[in-house]
Amino acid sequence: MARKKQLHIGVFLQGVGHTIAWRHPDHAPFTEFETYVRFAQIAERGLLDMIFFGEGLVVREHQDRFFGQIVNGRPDTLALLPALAAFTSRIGLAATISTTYNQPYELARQLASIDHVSNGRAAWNVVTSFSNSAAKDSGGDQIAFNFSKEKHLEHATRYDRAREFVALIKRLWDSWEDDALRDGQLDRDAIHAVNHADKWFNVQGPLDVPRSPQGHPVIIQAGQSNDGRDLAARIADVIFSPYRDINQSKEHYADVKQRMIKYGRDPEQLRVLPGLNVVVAPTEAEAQEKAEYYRELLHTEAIQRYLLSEPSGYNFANVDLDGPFPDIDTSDPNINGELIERWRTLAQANNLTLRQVVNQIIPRSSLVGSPTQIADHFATWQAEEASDGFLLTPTLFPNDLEDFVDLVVPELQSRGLFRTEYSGPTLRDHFGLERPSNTLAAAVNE
Amino acid sequence: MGKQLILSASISGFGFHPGAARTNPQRLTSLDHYRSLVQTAQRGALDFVLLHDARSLPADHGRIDALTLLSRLAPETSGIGLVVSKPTTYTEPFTVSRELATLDFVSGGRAGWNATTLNSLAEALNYGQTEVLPAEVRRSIAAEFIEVSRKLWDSWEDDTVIVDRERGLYLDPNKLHHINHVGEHFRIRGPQITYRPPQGNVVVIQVDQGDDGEPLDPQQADVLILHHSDDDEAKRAYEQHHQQAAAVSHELRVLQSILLILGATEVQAHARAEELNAAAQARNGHAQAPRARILVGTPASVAAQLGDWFVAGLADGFHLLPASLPEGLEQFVFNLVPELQQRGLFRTHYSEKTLRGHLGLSRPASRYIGAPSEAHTAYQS
Repeated sequence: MARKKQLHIGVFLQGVGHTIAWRHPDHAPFTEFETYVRFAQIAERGLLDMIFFGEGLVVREHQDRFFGQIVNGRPDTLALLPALAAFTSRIGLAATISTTYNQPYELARQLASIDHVSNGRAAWNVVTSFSNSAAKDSGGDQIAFNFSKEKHLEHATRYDRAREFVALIKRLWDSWEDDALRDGQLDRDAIHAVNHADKWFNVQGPLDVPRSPQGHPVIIQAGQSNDGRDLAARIADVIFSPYRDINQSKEHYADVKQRMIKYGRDPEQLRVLPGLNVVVAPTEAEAQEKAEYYRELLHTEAIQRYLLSEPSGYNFANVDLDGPFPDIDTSDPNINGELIERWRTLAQANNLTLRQVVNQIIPRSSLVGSPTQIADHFATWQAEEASDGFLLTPTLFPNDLEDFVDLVVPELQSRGLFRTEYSGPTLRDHFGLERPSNTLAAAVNE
Repeated sequence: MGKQLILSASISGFGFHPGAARTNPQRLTSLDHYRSLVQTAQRGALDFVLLHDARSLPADHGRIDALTLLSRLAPETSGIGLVVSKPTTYTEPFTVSRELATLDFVSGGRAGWNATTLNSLAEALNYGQTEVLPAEVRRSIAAEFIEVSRKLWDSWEDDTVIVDRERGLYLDPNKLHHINHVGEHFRIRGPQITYRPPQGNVVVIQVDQGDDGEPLDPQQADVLILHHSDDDEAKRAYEQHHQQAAAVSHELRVLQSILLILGATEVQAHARAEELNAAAQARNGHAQAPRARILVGTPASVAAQLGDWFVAGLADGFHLLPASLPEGLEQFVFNLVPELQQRGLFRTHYSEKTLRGHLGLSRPASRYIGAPSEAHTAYQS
């Protein structure tokens, strides 16, 4: 019998500013290194493909005030992953790093080095800026202020820079042929300058780090705009997508694969993983009860006001939550007028109080159920070509990840949908992705 | 117990003597090589190892990023200080200070930073520059870079994260601070996005490598590693640097670089020195000396000399540039360190957990304690 197509599962730990259930008594402290070690070890016990760290480049604040009610602060991912590699042997190690505030040569050697010291487990989630929100004050220009810049780059410009950055970094990773070090010698003829001179970067090369075990660390991309999908189709091995609706995800899945053909790539060489918040318990009733408890923990009045203020730019600190939607002057340049109008329409059309509005917009558990129900969801999305698996986004750490590993993974394994052991040492092996050939060397040696 | 020496060692390429054998370059890009060296240094209870790094391809070997290596090895070691060379040229203080804070985090307070500048054309060409920045510009950037990094480390006070479930406060916003740094080279708002390092500030180390672009500032560095070939000069520099540091109430440790060629007998040691010099002549046509005081002799005679210099007030300790690797480091740890221990000049085991502890440097308080914070508990219910 042919082996069934396998699911791919990663677990995501957000950057700064998340409304994770830190008020739960079991919540592990993010200020201790051991918490990150546990995170990696639990994921590896569950034979997941990778652990995946988000990025944040600014502490969340609003109108010059720091916001104390949510989790803030996170160690640097590039300095953390090598230490986690010491405690694990198979799990993939993914870092989210912005192309906007980094240098290609520096990042190329760091990522290649992580791939070396982890025996081929490194991945890079290419982002162009931190902020996922359209908000004007959610971090865009504040990030620039941490890098001696006046303003964030414009959207299209950021993608243009990102495209060139990634093309260049791949050439740097290819600047050593795989066998440049052999027979006790360094063969300089097997190492090539990149001589990159284009719009954004001038880099001579070659890299001073040998080609890494995976050839290229796995490239992850998450952009969903037209520019973002195009970039993913050109460069990504894995897409981290936001879709919760199966039809939207199917459309996206087909679209990026179509775009890959346009760029001369094999559509099989891509894994699409939507983010998914799973709350699982032995029975559906217990899972629902747990999800409700998380909601109560998260939704203090302070956090409700934050969830309104942070993305909109308007200060909801003193507004009556049980009253109607307030009058807000959307001509203020610090206010996201489009968002305020959307909420106002929602409130007026359904006759909602402000508290009811916030209940509509807050992040909620997107998949709550028994192990069988969760496994059904995974199987359906895979069968319908809506995804190749999921990136888990736990609400409570470590409990949610442990529950997934202990309850859902065995269910998926018994259906033949998930590995019972790692098939190879590298992250590309886990994903079933080919090790890229060395195109720079091929061009030079032609 | 009398006053104790500080002992440390550099790790770089094949070693520091121009005649060191340059064989088997594969090992220089293998994790095992560095693991073995760091563990050797730890067996000698050295204060720290300093892992050098650069940003262009050398003629006969490759590299692995030094920060990556030390972070990878941190969980496998305990005690030994881990000092990484990280350039201040073409990089961002926000990024570098965060990486260093994280090395301190994963090593439980054993991180140090050799703040370097990039001074070669090959490196400039890898970072979009067509020429090397002048020495005074590199020095000025490095000085401001270190200042900004210290501010960013202080921008989270200790225990900012309080996890007060009753009040619904994950962190105390009054303990977070914008640094609002505006200088000649950088404008940084802050705060940093990672916690204050376990040591408060990562230990800042500056090394005299004969480049005017490297700042050697006794009021800014925690450790200066200097090179003087003359005793009187070394003593003068030592006293002057300590006076300058004391003038601003800054704690400082001054080390002298040494390169040792050891033998079981004086004759064997000198024969080894001849061999290295001949190899350097054959390879380079000359035997250019490394920037270190070269001592040739038996472990006992070299230990006696170092002890004399220490007592005479030439240095707070010595920083080894191994003539070759791994032999130079192994001989130092297994032959010389025991001599110094017998003389009561050096520890036999670690009594402290952090690099600051080893060096006898106090943990600095955040400069922002008590400073008016723009932050307060927004949206407090």
